[in-house]
Amino acid sequence: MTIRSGLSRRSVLLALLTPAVAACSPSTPDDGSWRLHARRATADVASSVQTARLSLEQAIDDRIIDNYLQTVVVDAEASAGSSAEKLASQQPPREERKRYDTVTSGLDEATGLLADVRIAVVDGRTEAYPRLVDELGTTADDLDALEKELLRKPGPS
Amino acid sequence: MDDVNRLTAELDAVLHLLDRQVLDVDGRMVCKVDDVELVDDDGVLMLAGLLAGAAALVPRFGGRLGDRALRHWHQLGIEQDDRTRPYRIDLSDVERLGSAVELRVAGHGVLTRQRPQAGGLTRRRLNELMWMRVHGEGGAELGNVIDVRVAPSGAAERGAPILVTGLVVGRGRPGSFLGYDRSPEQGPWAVNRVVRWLHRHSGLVGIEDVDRIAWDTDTITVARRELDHLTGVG
Amino acid sequence: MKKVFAVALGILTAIGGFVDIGDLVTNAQVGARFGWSLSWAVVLGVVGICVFAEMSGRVAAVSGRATFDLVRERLGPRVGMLNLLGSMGVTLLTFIAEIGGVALSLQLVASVHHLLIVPFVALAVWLILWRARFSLMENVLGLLGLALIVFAVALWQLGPDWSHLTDQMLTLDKPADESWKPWIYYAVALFGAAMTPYEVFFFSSGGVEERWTAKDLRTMRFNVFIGFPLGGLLSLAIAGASATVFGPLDITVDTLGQVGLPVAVALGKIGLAVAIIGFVAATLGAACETGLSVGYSVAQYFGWQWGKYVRPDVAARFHLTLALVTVLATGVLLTSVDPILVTEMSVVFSAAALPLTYFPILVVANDPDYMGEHANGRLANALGSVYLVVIVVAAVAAIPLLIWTRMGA
Repeated sequence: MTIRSGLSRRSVLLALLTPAVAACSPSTPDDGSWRLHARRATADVASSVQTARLSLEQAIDDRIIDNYLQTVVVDAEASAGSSAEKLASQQPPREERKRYDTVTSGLDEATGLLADVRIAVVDGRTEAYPRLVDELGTTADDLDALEKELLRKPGPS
Repeated sequence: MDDVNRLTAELDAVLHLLDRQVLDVDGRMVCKVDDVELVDDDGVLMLAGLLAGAAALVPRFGGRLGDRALRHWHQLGIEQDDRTRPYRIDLSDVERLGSAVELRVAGHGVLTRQRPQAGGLTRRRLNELMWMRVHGEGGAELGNVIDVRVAPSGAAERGAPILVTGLVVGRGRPGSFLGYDRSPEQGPWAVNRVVRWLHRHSGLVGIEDVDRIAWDTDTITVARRELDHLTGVG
Repeated sequence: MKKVFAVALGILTAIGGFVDIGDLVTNAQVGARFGWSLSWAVVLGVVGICVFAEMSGRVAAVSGRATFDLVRERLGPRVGMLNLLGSMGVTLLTFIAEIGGVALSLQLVASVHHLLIVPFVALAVWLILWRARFSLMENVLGLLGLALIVFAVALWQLGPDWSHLTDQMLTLDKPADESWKPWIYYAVALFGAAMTPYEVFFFSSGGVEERWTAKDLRTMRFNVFIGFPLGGLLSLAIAGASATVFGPLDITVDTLGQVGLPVAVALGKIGLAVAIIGFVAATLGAACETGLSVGYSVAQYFGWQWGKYVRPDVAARFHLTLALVTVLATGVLLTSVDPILVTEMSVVFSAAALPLTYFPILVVANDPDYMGEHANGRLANALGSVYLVVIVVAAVAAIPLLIWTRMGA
């Protein structure tokens, strides 16, 4: 084992470890990538909101089986919750701090509403459905606006 | 194909015999032909039996390093005295070779351990012939053994021993001809062309041209400068 | 008359048995995001599976030998072992996804978490594989799978813009808000979902189980050439219903519950109940098929007696393998991995493993040793060769696309 082979072994090790170490730190991505993740998370949560809304509409018209409705809204809440959480744990770049707050609070509101929906469904409080459908509609619109807003690059903070 | 018994005519041992399913007289599956036992009767090689079991299959995984693989296998079970002796079916129990090997006896208990080598004719395995380097006259490297041509020495119906009549030599893995050497017209056209191109250096050596088989050094010397053209005998 | 009944039964069973959890999920996902702009991938996959299923069925009928049996003969023990590990791995992944799919389907009607249902599903699958007669299993589950026709009815009822859908289909018109990378990724996924490797193992081994001979070739071809394409139409119906309901709402499908929602919208509770029956039958049938396929591949590699056509004690190693595989699948599911995620991975890995399965079939179906006068004709070889190229392209692209698009995001 000469010095040369020792060095080359070390450099190979370094080359292998660097990306691993880099991947471990909380991602401080460039602003473009945070924006992309934020848009994705918003779209995911909007999808869950729309799914819940669609299912409740079917329930109002008595077109969906109770257990089925329950499974769908529980899944929607879980999926939205995990998307929102994943985004919240991502470190935003400095110029996105303000939007980070707006986005995460918007997503929290949506997941909170989905929790209300789930509670109403599990409790069988069908009289609350029409109101929830309206609220889900408004939330969906808000999330759509948020998504469009995220298409813009970060403005002056 | 129902009535063809390959053992009554010339065949390629790797292509037609090795890795085939063995069925008993009732059609029940017994094992695969993991290797083939050859006996060396004063330079004349003939088929003696079918070998099955881990002791037969493990060396085949080693490829060129087959004997090393078998030694490792032995190490893993050194307390067993029959560790390297595979299960064996005598060739006389074989009724017919079609797309599978059909036995004339029931499968229950048909696999018995190969007896320890105790004098008599030297036992070899087909796998030991595979990959052996073939040197021609003047030291020319002709390739390695990729298949072994065998044929019955007389009336095939009962008892005529099946002898090794030639070696298919080429570059590449034994069996990688995929059968296209025997049936030149076999489709699909594109695969046929590619396989034959990959085997463009492959050819045949008759057993009568073999000077010496050095089992311990994995080399075969033949009294030829080049290989015979591979015939697509059906 | 009896013959007609038998043929009809075969076709119906083929239609009902075509769709599995991979088709359900992938087609619904694709429909929601891309409409019918990826139907060409479904058509390509369906034609492909027809070509190769016919070949492997013909090999089984004429030579009495199943596909994996012949893989080791042609490729040797080493390459054969690689092939075994690869295709067994993918089939095992699919098996896990299918059992998960049954549990998810049952969760839709029972207010029980699917993880609690998994052990019972696994037990049911094992009992069926151990005890039930092969043809009974195939026929019952295949016919019940016809319930998925409710998707075609739902699509009709939803009154979609047919000109828009057919336009998307014919012009490969990707929706403007989606990019090309996920579009290609889903093309590969749909292809893998339609041309599942286990299907040819199962089809040819099933042919040996049911003792096909050359006389059964015509019936077999009816099943394949009529049954499979009609089954493929069900895939397109699922995609279409999903596109019509979810497209305008920008909903992305990632749960089984969402897959059935369009049927509720179109047909209400009854339609939904029928859809759930279809889900359970399709996934349970596919679970049995994939479980058996794992057992078939292992047994056919080592030469063990396999099959349900003999008593379980005669094929002891085969049944032991089935039991172990079922326990393994249960174990994996009980780690609370998302069955939908496993499904998504299984279709992509299926695409990656396709050459392992299809190349040996193509070679063997041409071998006059096994096939005699029934060896591939010009058409079968032409299609087979073209598909070999397509399969290799899809296989090479599958895993890189999976990583590059992060599973289609």
